[in-house]
Amino acid sequence: MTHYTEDLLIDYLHGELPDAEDARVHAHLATCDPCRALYDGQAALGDLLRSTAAASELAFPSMIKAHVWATIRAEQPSFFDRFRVIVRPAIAVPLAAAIALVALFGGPLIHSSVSNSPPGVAASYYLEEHAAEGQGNPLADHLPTVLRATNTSAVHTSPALIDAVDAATLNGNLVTND
Amino acid sequence: MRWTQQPSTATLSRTTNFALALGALMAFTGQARAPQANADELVRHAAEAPRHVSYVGQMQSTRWGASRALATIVRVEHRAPDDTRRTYLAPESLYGDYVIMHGTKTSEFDTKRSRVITSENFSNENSVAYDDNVALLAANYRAVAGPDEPVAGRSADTISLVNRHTGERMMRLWIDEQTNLVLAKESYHADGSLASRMRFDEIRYTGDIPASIFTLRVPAGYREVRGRNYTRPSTDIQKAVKSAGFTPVGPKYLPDGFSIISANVNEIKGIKSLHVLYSDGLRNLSLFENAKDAVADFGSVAPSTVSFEGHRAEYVKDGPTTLLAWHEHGLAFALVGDLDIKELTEIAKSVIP
Repeated sequence: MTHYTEDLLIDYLHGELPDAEDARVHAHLATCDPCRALYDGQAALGDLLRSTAAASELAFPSMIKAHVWATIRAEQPSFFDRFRVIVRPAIAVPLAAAIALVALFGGPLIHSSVSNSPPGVAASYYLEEHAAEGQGNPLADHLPTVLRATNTSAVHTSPALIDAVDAATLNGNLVTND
Repeated sequence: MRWTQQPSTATLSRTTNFALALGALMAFTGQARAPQANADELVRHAAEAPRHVSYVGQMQSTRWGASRALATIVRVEHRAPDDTRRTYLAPESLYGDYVIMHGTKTSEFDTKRSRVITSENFSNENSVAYDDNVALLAANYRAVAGPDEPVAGRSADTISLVNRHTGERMMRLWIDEQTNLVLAKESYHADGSLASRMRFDEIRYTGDIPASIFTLRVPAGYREVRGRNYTRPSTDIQKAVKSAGFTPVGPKYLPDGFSIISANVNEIKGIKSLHVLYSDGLRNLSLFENAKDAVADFGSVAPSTVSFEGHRAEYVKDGPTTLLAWHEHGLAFALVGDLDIKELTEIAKSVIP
């Protein structure tokens, strides 16, 4: 069995493949464990990066921000503060370079650690299996077991997890009840 | 440890079902139902009605979580006994997509990507499990008749299903007085809050539905993608447990009324996973376990956590359904049930390797 490259799986993950190729990869992942593991690893890495980015985007309440700015403006900068402003690029540039190197060469290390961890069983599998076997219940809804979402990233995340999943992931399938 | 089925009532209920199905058929073919129909029998007639009644209608369904809801509106064409087509009208992202179900086979037509996802689920034809469920429903729930309320312009009897053990109302049904079809349904959490609702906005009974709209043939220009094929569940619990290849553990505690219905073993990514299904006739409970310590992967979903007996477990809710996952002593467990997290945690506590 041939396997897909990491780059192609990343493109699939981001929904950037043409429809025909997208369908082929979708079908292949259902039957190929190595490609599936690689895909899951990339998805996990993406989730990690997204959650880190989201954490850094937390906004201060406007009153606190206003107070901080008022305090900064009220203070006269000392000689040390002015010196620190001058040398900041000298510190920041090597720091940025170091971060870039870690990102470049540390990626495979992160990926391999994800791949080597015990494989998990997707939570959506449990929900789908439960719903499918529950069809024997006389008053079951007899609905399709998977209500598909239309974006690629939601394929492996059951959109039925309405409490936990981010509303944006479902392309507006959710309506708030608040 | 509960790996054995409680005394099966299947034989008795099979006989009863035949009589009830006959009754439903007679009702549909024009004979008037007894005016003071027994509420329990009415529920059984309602469960059988789709096998005898053909219709076209529009239906909305909503599942509530703690702070959000998932809602869909579908056009439904149903030709008895087992051809159903649902076309999504809302939400916008699913508009125009449709699903055709024929017996055990389901095809989901993704019109935006021009592909068809096909799957098969043999639970739909598991008559023994169905009969056991019907008997459990009667044993564990009291059907209480309420005032008549019209739905979609049709006169409907209302029935509340009250748990005989807890006294809680778990479901309310609006049943068409003429055809016994369920026109609306609400299910409730243990605290009484609404968990899900299904309701027809309009319905027209007709046997004149062209067979061509139920075809599972892949349209020109569409690609077929093989979806999940669900393993045929077995009522031979001991055999399924043995085939797991490891020594599984069952719960010492189950809520009143729950009994084993079926079991099966699936292999996912090379991991053998045992699935045991319990039911009280209305609510289902699934216990999954594997010996590879392969814990549940929640992907990008952030689960909540709960601790019991020194274990840290993760859970998510999906309308009336909760998934609780944890691992201990080299076994990974997942409980999925139409129960709240407190009840699931009590069951999880009793699963002791």
